[in-house]
Amino acid sequence: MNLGVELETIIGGISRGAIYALVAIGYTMVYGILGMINFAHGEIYMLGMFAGIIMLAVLTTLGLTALGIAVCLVIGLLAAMVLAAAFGFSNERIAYRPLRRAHTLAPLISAIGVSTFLQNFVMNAQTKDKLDFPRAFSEPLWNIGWNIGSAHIALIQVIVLVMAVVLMAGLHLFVAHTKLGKAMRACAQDKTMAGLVGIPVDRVISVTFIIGSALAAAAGLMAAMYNGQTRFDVGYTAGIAAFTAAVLGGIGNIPGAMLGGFLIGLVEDLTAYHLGADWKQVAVFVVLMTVLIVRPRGLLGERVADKV
Amino acid sequence: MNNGRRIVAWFFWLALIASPLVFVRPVYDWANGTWRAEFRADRWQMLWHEAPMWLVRHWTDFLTAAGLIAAGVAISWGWRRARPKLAAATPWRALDDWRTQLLGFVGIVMMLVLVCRHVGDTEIEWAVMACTYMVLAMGLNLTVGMTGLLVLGYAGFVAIGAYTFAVLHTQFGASFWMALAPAAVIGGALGFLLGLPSIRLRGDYLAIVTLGFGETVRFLIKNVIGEQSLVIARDARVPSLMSENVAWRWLFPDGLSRLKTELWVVAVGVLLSLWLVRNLMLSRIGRAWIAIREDETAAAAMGIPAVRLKLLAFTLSAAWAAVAGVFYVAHNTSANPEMFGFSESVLILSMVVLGGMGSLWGPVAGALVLYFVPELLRDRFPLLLSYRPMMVGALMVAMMIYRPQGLLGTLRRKIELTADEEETGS
Amino acid sequence: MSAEQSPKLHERRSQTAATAKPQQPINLKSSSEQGNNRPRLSGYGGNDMKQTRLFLVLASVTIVLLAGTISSAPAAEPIRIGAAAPFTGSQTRMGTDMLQGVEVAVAEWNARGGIGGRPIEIVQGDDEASPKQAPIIARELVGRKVAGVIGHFNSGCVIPASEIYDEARVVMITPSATNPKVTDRGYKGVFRVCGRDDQQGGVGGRFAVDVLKVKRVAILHDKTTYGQGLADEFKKAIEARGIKPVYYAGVPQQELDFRAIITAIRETKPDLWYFGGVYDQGGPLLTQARQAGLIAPLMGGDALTDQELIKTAGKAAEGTYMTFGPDPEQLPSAKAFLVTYHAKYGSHGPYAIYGYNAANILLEAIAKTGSTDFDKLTDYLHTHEFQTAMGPLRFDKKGDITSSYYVMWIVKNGKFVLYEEVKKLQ
Repeated sequence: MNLGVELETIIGGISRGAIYALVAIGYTMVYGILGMINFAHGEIYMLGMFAGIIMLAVLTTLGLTALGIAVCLVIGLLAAMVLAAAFGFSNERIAYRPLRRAHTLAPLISAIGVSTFLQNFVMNAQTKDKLDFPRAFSEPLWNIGWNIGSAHIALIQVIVLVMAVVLMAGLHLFVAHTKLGKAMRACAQDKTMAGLVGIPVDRVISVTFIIGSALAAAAGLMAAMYNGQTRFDVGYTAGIAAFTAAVLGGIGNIPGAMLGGFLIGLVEDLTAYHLGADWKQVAVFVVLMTVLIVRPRGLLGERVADKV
Repeated sequence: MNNGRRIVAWFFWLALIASPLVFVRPVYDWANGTWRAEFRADRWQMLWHEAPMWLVRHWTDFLTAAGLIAAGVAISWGWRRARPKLAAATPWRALDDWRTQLLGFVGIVMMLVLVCRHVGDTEIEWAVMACTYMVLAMGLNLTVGMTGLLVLGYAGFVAIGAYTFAVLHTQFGASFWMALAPAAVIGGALGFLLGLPSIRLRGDYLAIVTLGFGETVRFLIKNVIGEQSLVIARDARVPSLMSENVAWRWLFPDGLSRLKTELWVVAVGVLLSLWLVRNLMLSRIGRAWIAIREDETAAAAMGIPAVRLKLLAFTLSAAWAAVAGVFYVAHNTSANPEMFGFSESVLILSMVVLGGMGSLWGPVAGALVLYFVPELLRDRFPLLLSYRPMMVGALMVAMMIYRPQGLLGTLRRKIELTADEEETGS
Repeated sequence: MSAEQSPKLHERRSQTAATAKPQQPINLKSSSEQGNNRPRLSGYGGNDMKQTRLFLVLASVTIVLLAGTISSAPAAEPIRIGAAAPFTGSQTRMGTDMLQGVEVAVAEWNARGGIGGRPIEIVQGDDEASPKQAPIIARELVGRKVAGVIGHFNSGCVIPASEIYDEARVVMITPSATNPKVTDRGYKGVFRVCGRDDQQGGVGGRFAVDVLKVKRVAILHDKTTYGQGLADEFKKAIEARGIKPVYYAGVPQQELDFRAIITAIRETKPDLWYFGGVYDQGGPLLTQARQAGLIAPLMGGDALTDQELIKTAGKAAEGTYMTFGPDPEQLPSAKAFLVTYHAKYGSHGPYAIYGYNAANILLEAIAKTGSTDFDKLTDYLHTHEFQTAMGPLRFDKKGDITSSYYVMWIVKNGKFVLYEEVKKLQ
């Protein structure tokens, strides 16, 4: 095996894995607190892509590109995060909150409905065709690179990795050291007790959704930058991969989601290289089903008590 | 009034966050090689000028719709008031009576004959597809509705049946009738295999595993058999029935084209499915399924072999889907892996949910509303089909919140689905 | 919650007490179950007749709407021809291009008074370049009683759709489907005004080996009927000249991330790589290839020749080869068409003129035979020579054109130019 190419594939896999890790965090936080799978999270990821690209286009139209690529990308990222947070917040309030007390399957069906709705909404509102990421902002980042042996690493991969790590570190600090983070952990442990102790559970849940959506949007924009384009239906595929990552790492466990993300990214890229691109998704599904059947608690998760 | 104000506030908030996506579009600037943002004045225009005009122009449509709904409500209310005993008598008992069954059967046959004689091909096509979806929805109803197992990868089983036929046809020249049995067997076997590891999983996880299964089937088909369509030759499909027999000519002056024969075949399929589902519901198996759905631990404590019955539900449902898949391909003339994706599964699931999970006629109603009605309205509202997934999604959310038992569900079902109401809210 | 529910229970009880016979015990069941004391099946009892009523209402609404559609079926005055191509999705540009060519032709005929005094109308069918959607669109067009169909655009769509057209006896002329299987099946009503992939692949292969003198060639395709077919023809052509490809693989049609494949191709150190596929994937393929350091030139077929490719790939597209028909700008017979097209739609895309030719041929056949009968049209089409904007054209027995005409194009300075032109300048 060509070691250089293997290394390159591995680095690509880790960069992609960082993106999945960010999205997986959203799935795992929602599951930890609400006990439901937020099927629509993948669409939030896709919304972030579209919002970010639109913002970059707006910046170009307003002639503000002179601010430099870094500043523009940060503005685009912020815009994407804000819009996605708004959608995530609304999603929770409209589709999940009324179903808090209902039968377990109801929020899942509702989430599927929201996912279908958002996908079709973006398709009609924007375009059914692919949407290119403005080359002016990503090409310079591809052109700068280094060669380690016969492996070629581009600046953009490093940037994606660094940004993702920064965001994940920020989240970890938030959850571990702030009052709101403590409140989130309390709600994840026992919602009713947290409510009785005086924690505003509804507000904490809203914040969870907002943070999760913002992270997913950031991941989305970086993925769009990396791949060069996006479509209205990437949310589904990426959502499944990220959910697999969350499950693999241990659903409900945030460091587990991060670990799972990197692992899934590696699995995808290695499969694509060795077996071909068409087997990428099959590999992800196989991992998903295996984990759910053999070890539902994932790598770092706690034992899943209820099986009924 | 607080509620009203909240609804208005939410409306404006949603409009606000949706506007960047609706009104701004990135366009490629060929001159500079960059992407610029374009404000879609045409849509803005449409929102403020044309939409109100359209609403005003079509006021008759809204009036008709409102009138129909009001008529329906009035009829049912009046019926209930005028003949309380008759209204309270359960019509299902009537279905037990062989006279009613015969009457119903004759009625349906007459309706089909009339349809074949007078209705155009386009509408018959819709009817055939709607009936196919009815059969599919009834199959899904067995697991999702009656046993409470959410299956998200249903289209995978349809694909199995479809491709069994397609492969048997291209390799061995099998025809439609010959492929039905193998498809059912293979579909059932794969349903059983999927069920084995999945039955001990919780609701959410089960759904995801079935989703994974459905997608894996699709990918395997794409990678192993190929992405290109497998075409079914004309003589292997449902045959057209032409005959010089006098009685035949009197009934069908033009004979039965292939499409009309397909309508008969699928109508028989729908009736057969209804009969099967009804018998299952009234049998020990059906009652056991419902018991499992309501409380699995209690059911097991009462001696119901939950594992075996859940496996049976999976197997039957999968076999059902496979048979329907064979017909689907025969009707469509070709099989392609893209036909059996997640959105198909969601569509069938939404039919079951809308119609009423666990009810007999629910899937039929769901298929009518979600397939037939948009097709009928297509001429008046040409954009409806591209917005259908949006409506399906919104409908699923609304149904879960306001009427989880579906259109034809029972009150008991609603209570079951909105389980623990006694908890104090936070 | 419970506090709110109690008044209702009280209400029902008092109603029951008032209307019940004196000796009857207080009935706790809902009022709908009053008249029937038989034990109910769990999950199945309750408001059964509510179910039936709702269902009857739904059914009657449907029947009313259906009746509406039947009675409003007018006799068709204009002559309709169908245009089926991708009008949404990632291949929109080529599809719209083709449609606009057809529109120019129809406008010219209508300006001359239509055919026999009847105006000509285009019925659009958007197949989204999906073999799943194509049969559905085919059925719709047939249902609209079109005299003939210009389309579809992709070979993978033409083949399943032509099954339906052939059965319905509707003529189909495709401007762009190049896979040999389209006409090899020998259907009487299937024609094409473009070349075949065995010719195209052959031209590409000969050029690669004889002119470019490459030794190591990697081959990629998009797994569709067209893409894989073309790649296979190219492979056959270079193997016939003693060159074996160093890489051969397919990518799924919706795939946008090619990095792993590109890395693998790069490692085989090719002098040239071939892509059998469409511009919507060709663009990102080129971009990512240059980003990954794959500098060998790409060669492809007719479906790569869209400006969209250059827009996406920018400088990465420079030096890409593709096989296509002759340049209409150099043909005197095409001048009039190009002038009209440019005035109406701006710069022309690759398939506008093919759409124009196909429409003209079909309309000429209808006009000269004076009917839209399938047999008359096909007989006329098979036996006559047509003067098209690309020169004189005849169909052979299978429906292919009798002349072969693929030439090599290259991308230079952001534009598609004939390779011959570039050679002349050097």
